[in-house]
Amino acid sequence: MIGTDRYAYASRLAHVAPQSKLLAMAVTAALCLCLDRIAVSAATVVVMGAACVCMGGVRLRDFCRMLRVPAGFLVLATLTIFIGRYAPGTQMLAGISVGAWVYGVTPASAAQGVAICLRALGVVASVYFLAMNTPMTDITGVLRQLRVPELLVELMELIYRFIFVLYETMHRIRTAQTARLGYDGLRNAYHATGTLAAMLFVRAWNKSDRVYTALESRGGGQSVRTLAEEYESGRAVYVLCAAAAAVQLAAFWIERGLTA
Amino acid sequence: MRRKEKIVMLACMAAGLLSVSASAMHIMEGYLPKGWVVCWMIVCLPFLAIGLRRISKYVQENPKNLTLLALCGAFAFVLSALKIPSVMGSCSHPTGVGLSAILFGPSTTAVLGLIVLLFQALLLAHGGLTTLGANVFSMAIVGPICSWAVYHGLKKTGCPKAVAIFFAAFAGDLLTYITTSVELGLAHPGASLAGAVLKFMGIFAVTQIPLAVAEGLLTVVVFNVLEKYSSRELTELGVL
Repeated sequence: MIGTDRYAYASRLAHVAPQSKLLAMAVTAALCLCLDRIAVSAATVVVMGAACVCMGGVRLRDFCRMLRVPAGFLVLATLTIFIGRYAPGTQMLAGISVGAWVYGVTPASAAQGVAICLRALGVVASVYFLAMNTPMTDITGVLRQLRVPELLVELMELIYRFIFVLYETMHRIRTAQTARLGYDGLRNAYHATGTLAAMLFVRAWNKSDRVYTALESRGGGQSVRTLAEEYESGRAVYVLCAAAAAVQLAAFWIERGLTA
Repeated sequence: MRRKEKIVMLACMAAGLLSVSASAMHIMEGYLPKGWVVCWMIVCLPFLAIGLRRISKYVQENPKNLTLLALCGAFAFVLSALKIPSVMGSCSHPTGVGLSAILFGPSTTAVLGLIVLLFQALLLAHGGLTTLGANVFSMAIVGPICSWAVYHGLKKTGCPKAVAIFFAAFAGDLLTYITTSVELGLAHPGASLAGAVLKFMGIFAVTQIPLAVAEGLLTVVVFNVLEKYSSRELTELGVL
């Protein structure tokens, strides 16, 4: 189990029709991105977070921890938007003058940075609603219904299954290497990491041979089809989707009313 | 601001940035405005169509290639979970851009890259669905094409293979990072476009240039081991 996967299978929404969850994600993420207001973004984070916790049964602590995952990029990129070079005499919140220019943060750049950060977190929260409540195999099933090219969907399903096999292999090799002091010192670490990657490739190659033989001997050949699961009705999620969109639009009108 | 203070401040900033996880090459979910989200997705479509057509030809030639490509895709995903030692004791993750471009060619890499980036967005929250187009363009199209061209160009001039592999992986990473900076600069231009692009490049250089060197070295080690133990597979792929 990696990343959001471990929550998806344990979620109370795991057996609800995946189409509803995909729609809820798409609508809220699109509204958050298109309306692009601080209030809308904040509302999206709160509503989708609440939906994850109350409807999906994800623990609040886990949801907040997942929200912090993209923090590295957020800090780096927002710092770049925050800080700029300005002509002397510009009104600034904080800054230092170097040569003929002033480097620092202006009220406008600060507001822009905060708005972008919140918008990003809003969309992330929407996507987490999908990712933390829907097993990946259900998502690929919906993609097939949406007429995504069959070859692409099939590749996705196979890749998803093989990821776990290779992960396990990787961990085993790494444990063996560590036990032999493979990662002791920079030179050894490079050698060990390189060997690990190469061996993983060789294992993957051999494995694909065997998987194909196994498929063919069962008359599988080209495609791997499985029966679709029986899903529970997604009515509650459709209601959530409508409610979330209403809250987002309300936040939009209120903020516009206040600033106008 | 005294000169000394400035140096201390810059050093602190650099150290702080280095400790930030270097999965920073993926543009985060929701970070691009709606116009650019759509624009980058459209830009990627022709490349993906070519790649998909190439793959379907491979699979028709030999159905075995489907499981092979799938395992290569899974390999690329797992590769990004490896840690490579980087400057000052920090660790970064390889992108595998150079390696898969040299092994599978740029058009196949585009499709495998799309799937890997989609899984990273959904499973690991690296990158995102809305920024998928921009990330695919920089990491699965521009980077691999550059790596592939550098590798074959250098091989033709007859320079040692290790050098060609190092520069292919290094250039692929570097161009990916430059493309990402351009994408971010275009989306958030501020006062001037060139200034914004340079600003993003400057800040990301702190993590990305050491990463490019580390990945170049790692790719050389990977290839040495592969040549030793699996020249049959490399010959089948047409790399050797």
